[in-house]
Amino acid sequence: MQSPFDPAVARRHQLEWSRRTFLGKSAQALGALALGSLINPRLLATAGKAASDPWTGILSSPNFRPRAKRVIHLYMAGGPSHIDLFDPKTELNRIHGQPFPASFTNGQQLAQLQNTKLLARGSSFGFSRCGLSGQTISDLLPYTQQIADDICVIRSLHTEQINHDPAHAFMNAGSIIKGRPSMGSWMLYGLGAETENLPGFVVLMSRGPSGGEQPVSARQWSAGFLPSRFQGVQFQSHGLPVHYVGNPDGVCQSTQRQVIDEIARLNGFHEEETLDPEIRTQVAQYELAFKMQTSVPDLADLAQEPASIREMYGVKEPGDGSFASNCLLARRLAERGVRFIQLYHRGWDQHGNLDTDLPDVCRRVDQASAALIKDLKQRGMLDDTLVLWGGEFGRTPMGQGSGRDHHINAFSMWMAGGGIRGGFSWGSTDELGYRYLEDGQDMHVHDLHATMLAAFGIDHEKLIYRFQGRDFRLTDVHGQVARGLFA
Amino acid sequence: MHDFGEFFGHLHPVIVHLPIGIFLLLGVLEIIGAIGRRRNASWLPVLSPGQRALVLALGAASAVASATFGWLLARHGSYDDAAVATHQWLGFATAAAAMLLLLLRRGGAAYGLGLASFLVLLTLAAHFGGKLTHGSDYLVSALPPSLARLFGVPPPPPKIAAVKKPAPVTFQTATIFENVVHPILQDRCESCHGPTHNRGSLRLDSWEAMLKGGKHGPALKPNDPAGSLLAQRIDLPVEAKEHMPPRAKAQLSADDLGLLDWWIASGAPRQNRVAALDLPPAIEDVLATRLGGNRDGAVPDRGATLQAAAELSRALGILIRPLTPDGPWLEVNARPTGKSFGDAELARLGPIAASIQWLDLGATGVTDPGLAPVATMHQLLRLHLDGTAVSDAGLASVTGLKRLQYLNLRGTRITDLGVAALRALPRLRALYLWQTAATPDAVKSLGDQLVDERRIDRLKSEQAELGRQIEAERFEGDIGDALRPVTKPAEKIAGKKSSP
Repeated sequence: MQSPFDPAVARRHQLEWSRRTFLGKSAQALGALALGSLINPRLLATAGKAASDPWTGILSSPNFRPRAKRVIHLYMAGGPSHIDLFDPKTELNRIHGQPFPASFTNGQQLAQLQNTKLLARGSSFGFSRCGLSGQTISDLLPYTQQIADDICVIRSLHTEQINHDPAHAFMNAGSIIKGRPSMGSWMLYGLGAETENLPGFVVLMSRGPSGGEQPVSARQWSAGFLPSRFQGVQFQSHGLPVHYVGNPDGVCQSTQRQVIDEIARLNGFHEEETLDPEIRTQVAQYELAFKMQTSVPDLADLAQEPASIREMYGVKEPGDGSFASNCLLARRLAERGVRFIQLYHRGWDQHGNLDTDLPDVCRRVDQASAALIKDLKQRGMLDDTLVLWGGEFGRTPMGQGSGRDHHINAFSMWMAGGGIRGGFSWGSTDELGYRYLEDGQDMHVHDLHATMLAAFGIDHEKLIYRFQGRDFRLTDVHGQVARGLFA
Repeated sequence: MHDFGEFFGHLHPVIVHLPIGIFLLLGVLEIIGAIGRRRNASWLPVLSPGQRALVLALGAASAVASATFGWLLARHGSYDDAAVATHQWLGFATAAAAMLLLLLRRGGAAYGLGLASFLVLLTLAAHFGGKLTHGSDYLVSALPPSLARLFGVPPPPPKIAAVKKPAPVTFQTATIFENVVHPILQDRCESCHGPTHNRGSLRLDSWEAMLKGGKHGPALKPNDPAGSLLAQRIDLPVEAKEHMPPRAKAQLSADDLGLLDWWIASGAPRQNRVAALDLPPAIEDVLATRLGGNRDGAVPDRGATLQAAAELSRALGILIRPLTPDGPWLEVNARPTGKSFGDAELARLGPIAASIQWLDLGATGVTDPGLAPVATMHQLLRLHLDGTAVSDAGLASVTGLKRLQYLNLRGTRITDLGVAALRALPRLRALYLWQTAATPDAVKSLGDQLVDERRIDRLKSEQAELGRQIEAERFEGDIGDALRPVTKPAEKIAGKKSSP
């Protein structure tokens, strides 16, 4: 196998460029040189391999022993209230309705509560100690309470972005600057996927019935400056996950095969001419699309699932676009070797009507989230599947009318599987749930990313991509692995 | 109030060079002056009485200051009292002699003799001071052997590597303290906490000495890394004053830290053979690199293994990845190939069999008789057979895998008979039997047999810790059953295994 780093390959391309430059493309010379310097030599690399060969990752071996093989990220978009779900605060309940102590909030960034009178808002919901471990989980999540011994609740998470879209970007890419790759793309770039028949990074979306939720932009699963073959592919939640996978009348799979092969051959010529790495992506996408003509109908055939399993997730009708249906699909994607699966559920942005809307969104999400853990566990897949459940930020312990505002100084997330120890919580917040405590268990989003990569045997300081003369990482120049999370 | 004593004490190593320099220069000038007077060579400088008095006064003042600061340092520093004593008394004597010399400054034979003997005294005091800071063999350790013999210096003790040479230890013959833990301490700790120095009255050159500890208490508490001073000091941030080894000295590697933590946590074993201990894979990796080989003999060569793996991966269409950055250990995943991967394909993994640690044969076409090659994969830690046609008969190829920790038999034809046979797997931690004919009773009985004592202890201590945390939180809620200590940990473990 020709190494992706083989300098001989890059040299050959450089030579060809200079010959062409001199021999008649002088008008384009400037542009061509500019392009030549933009092209990452690592990517030229794959010359000698067919463009349609599967990508097996840039890391030829891990930096340390891996524990996990895939991620399912249950992304609670909008900002679930940590105060009402995972982080009960007796003191906050006591001062409910009274002015929120200014010592906490002075000089701090607020979203919509700026220049308003800040009043403490206790939680209206009860909490219980659950499982053998005695984890404290809100009664709004009765099913999650059943998996208390399998999950680790992180209470000290904090972020830097107070509005939805930048906060999503920060959670996904560790930066709000456009053009940075999302974590799924980084994983795919580093490790590849375990399937050639489906995209290695799949995104699914569901939401509540109201339709008023904040949108989530497709840039959240973008590959940024990485080649676009590593970007997330959004599947449809309604009906078949991918449209038009069937052949039109009169076209059979063998004709289709011939067409794909011929297009790949022509694209090969074009690639030699232009040296644009994105042509490689296009060839790979044609190949993948061809394979998905058979793999997607099989994936989406939820009728294969016994009624008991569909009941466990709470799937009313397969492919109905619900979170439950997406969870079941996520498990099927995981079984088929997809590396990174992200399920967005919109509807956690309770600025108002928290006491009625929060129970509603919990009902839509709770049962299927817990069922996913139980289902992975009974299949023996939880040992190497890392499940994350959480949003882009939390909600204020101060009230905003009948709800809560965005809050970045502390929020909760749970993790399960993939070598993470279950049945305990990591980190804590002050007595009002306002800010994380610096007790060695505080977790910035960068730390979360570093820890996630560590579960895959990747040293976050070593998964690097050079772009425009600068080395980039998912954690930029930050990130500390929370080793205590691992069993 | 701030302790200025310690501050001035720390100036001792700086100040101490002043009297040495001043008096040596004085000696040189006096000799040159004497020669000049005898030869009547007027071009050679001769000290005037005034100049001599000034130099002597400066020298005496700096000698007294050095002795005083040295005394302050000895009171605050963590030095071995016996070693300090010689240097201290020589230092005091030097200071006194310097003042005496000032009185003799009128010149004459008494002054010349006095200065000569003073310089000898000064050299001795300085030498013992140097020994304190740099170690007793610092000066002679680099002498060429011929010179060393000339001066009657005993040959230096052979270096550690030379001691090991006669009987090279291997993974099989190594004992845990002597060959693994002690060499780390020898390299990083013993120059200050060993036979030559015992700063803080602490020696780390034997197991007993660590248990005995120094002036801050025992350095080692078996089973309790967090409570062991040894681990605490090493774990402190390197900037911290209490951090060991001191910031300027060579630090322990991450592997060293992992080894020490694991060693203390597993009761600080001494005489035990490494091969007989229960080693987590990460620790075993490190030991295999340090000692060469592993418990099954030689470790396969990484380069050759990876090459064979690349060829097999291409030929069979399966995924093979290394599991460690430098070992030969492999993850082999045949699941994506499905039923087209069968017994014949499994048999072809022979060349890499000794390196496979994770093997996923889920949903493949392997059968009971075809599993025979698995029995040769002694390194297996994880094995997926779910969704295959494997039955109780096939497990005969699995029950010899002494290191297997994870076994997935979901959706196979396993019955209670097969489950009972799994008791031969001493390290099994996770067993998946959903969608098989195995009954909960059989699983529970296997779980009871597989329970190992240390795991129970760990569960208990985790429970206790959680209990403490919750108390500290002062949560006002109904604690209920959840918090009661686990009285039957065996059930918890059995419960962790999936039951049908």
